Amino acid sequence: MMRTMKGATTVALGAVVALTAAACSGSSSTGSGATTTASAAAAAKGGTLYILNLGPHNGLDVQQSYVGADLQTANRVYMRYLTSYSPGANAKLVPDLATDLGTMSDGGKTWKFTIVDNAKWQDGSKVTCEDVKYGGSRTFATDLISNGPTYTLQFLDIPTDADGTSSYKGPYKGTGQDLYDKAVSCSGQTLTLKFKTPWADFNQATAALGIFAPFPKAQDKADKSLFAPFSNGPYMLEGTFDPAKGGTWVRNPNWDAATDPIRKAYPDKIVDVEGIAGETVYQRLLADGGDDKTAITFGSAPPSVLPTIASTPGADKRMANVPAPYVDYIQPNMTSAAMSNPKVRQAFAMSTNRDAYITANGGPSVMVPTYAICNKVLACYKDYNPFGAPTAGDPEGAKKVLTEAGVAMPVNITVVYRKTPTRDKAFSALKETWDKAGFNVTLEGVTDKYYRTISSPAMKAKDAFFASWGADWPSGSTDIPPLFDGRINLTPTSTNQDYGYYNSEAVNKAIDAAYLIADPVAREKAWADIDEMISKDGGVIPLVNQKFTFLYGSSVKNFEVNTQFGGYADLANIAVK
Amino acid sequence: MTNAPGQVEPPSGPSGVGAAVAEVDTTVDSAAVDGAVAIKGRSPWEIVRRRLRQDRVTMVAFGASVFFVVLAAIAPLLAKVGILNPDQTHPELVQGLGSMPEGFMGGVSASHWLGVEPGTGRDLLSRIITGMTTSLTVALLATIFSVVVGTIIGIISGFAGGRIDWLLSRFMDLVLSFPSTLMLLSLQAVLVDRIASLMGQPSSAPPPKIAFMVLVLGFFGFPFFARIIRGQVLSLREREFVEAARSLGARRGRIYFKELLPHLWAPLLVYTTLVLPANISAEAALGFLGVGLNPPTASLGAILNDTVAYALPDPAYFFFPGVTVFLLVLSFNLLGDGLRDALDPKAGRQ
Repeated sequence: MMRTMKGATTVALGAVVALTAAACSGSSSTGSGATTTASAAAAAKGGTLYILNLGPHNGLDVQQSYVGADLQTANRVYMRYLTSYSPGANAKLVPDLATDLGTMSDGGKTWKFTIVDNAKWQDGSKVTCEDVKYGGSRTFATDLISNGPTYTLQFLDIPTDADGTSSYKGPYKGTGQDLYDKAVSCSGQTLTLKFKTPWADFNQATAALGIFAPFPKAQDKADKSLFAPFSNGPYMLEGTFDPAKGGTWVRNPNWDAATDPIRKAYPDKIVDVEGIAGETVYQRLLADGGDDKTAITFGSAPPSVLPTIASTPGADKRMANVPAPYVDYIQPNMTSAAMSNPKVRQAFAMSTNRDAYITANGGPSVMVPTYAICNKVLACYKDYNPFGAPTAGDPEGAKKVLTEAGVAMPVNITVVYRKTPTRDKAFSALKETWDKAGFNVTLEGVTDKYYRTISSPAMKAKDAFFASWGADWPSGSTDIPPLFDGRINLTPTSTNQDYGYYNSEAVNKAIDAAYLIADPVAREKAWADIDEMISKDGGVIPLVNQKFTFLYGSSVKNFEVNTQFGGYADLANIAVK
Repeated sequence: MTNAPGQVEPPSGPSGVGAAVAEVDTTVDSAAVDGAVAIKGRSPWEIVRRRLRQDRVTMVAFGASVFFVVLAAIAPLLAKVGILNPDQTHPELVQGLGSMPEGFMGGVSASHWLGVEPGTGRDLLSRIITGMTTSLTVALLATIFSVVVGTIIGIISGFAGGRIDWLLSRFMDLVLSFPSTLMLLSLQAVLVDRIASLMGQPSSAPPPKIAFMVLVLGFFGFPFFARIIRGQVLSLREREFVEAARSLGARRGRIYFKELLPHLWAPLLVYTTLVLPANISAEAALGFLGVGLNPPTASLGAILNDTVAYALPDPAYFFFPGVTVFLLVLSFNLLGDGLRDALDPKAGRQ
């Protein structure tokens, strides 16, 4: 469900495979794998950290959030998850509220976690197994709790009604409570979960998406909890949070640093300021005056700001250019007159000029070329080139393919993309090379409700669609099936994420087989092979891996970007004194 | 944002042009009566031309307008023979951080007089000139549409009077009170598809989109013409020559187009030159909002939309297109002002 940037989007990416995770399962040593990009000056407690964002904020309730930066901030500031990623660039999966990374049995259908005994809520009460169980149940109240990850609805061993929805209707209605209690049970501090089908990387989902984040029943105001979080982390909300303006986080007196292996909590206060346009944020960070000296942002620098950063003395020392979770790609429509011919798809892929696309978007500091749909920082990434065309494209080779296939040229096709002034230029540049290869490309920019529009049957006659995707957690299982498994995506009213109507029997079979592989390394390799299979079939043309550029105030210390966990500023070790 | 022709000044009053005609008539008449050559008879055209020639600002504006129109008209030809290259990218010219053009003033050079576009390296001069073609085509067609519809409805409304006049006038009020830009934005998805299927073209092709913009801009512009024409007709219909035509049994069509229309060319000309720049601005505003032709087709609004983000890092890229739109709109506006002054002796300049 991860879409780009603003909107319904999350991201949690990791190069961490379950193997690495298992290898360090006992380790909860502080700051493992953390790399600091800021000066190594010793950090001290105190000061106020400012976060400048475009806003409005989507929500502070973990069960109602799917936005990468928000889920990551929640985990560092006010909500400990069962498992988490350690801070810094080489993050690993570590236990957080659970004593270990959980134990899997029954081939991935049963998971057991033991909740730590010394974690407390902001009112001093203990975080119990029941809180975790209750938090997980909220997701089922789909009438009140929405916009969060819904994986547990499909996976937990609870029967479904005739209309396909879960027979358990959430804790507020209470319908089917006994069914939920059977699938999720507490014995002391030990939580046992039963799934319908194996979920081998479940402990990554708990860390990346905050699935089964605890919630005390007494504090729950259902949908009204959206901006009223109850903290078990180092900070708690002071007063109220205005989604358009932000709010202030102060220290939680009931949080004990000794019991928390992950968070250092150096600043005394964290002020979240929403409602500042991206360009303004960067003008303020560049000016580096007053409170902005201790400010950061979760918005990546717009390309037009990059030269100003380069020409501002000292700004490069407080800049981070890091891989982002998103892969931009073009998906040909397998059902269109032109693209249903595999040779046309091959020629189209061969004449795709990734270099021009990157230059138009702002150059190599904004994105890097890729041939795989799986992000380069994930274990499912495979370095392959389906048709041997260079990143600048091979229009002559493509033309030859079209000629040999006996296709009448020019091949008229319409490419649909999400319209912005920058992408207008990027697709104009792509069109130039496509046209050289014998296509006659019409570009169609869509501004409003882009993904909803391209997944509707009204777009069935178009030939190719732009899209952008980031994995939910570090596994090919959140890349390949959600995008290319026609069986779960295609309905008469929507293509869902499979915009190009890709539905290959061979690929579907390989997907089913990959799910059943127990060994995480072999499993990710299987996803990588499917990735290559789809590209070679001309089912997708991955373009680039995006990169983020962040600037931060000159007094910010320990500025780290957790590329494994969303790609945003990591607040675990950050300090302003 | 310019709210299309809403900015046009109120009519100078029906007496203006009528008086000019009357003045001319008396001159000619007295000369004929006296049978002398002392007072030379001048046609209305001559008087207007003389006045215009004395107005230096208007002459410069006229020259500039002609220059822009000719340039826009021959731009597709220039692009065809390769003198203009609006779509060819030059990635080698924009290799810096953020893909900024290298060199002085946004990459100004012998082959790129106004520099190149950041990101793609396309020639900015070529894009501005071909963008002008798009913008002027839309603005001109929309203005013509407004003039034709406005004149017909204005004559009918003014001449027929009574219930027809009341109905048409209320309809014009209704159209004038619509927020036209919002209508354009919300209508485009539905209407472009309809127009495209009528024209038998894909909705992403340029003609349906041009037709859509022309229809909508033209439709919201017609009441300005219709109201002025109606006012003129109200005073003209009581004149003797109309009375004479009517008593001779002329049909309505003949009275409308043979008797009345020739007396309306002056206000039409003035308002056309004033509505045209308003439509150019409106088209630019639409391009700015993302309505408009598909890339890579250039339009002034789309170019302006892209330049905004570069105001600080690449001021030249921000400056050139903005100045072009400014000069284009200014020259048509000044021309319109000058024409009005020349056609209306009551407007006291000099």
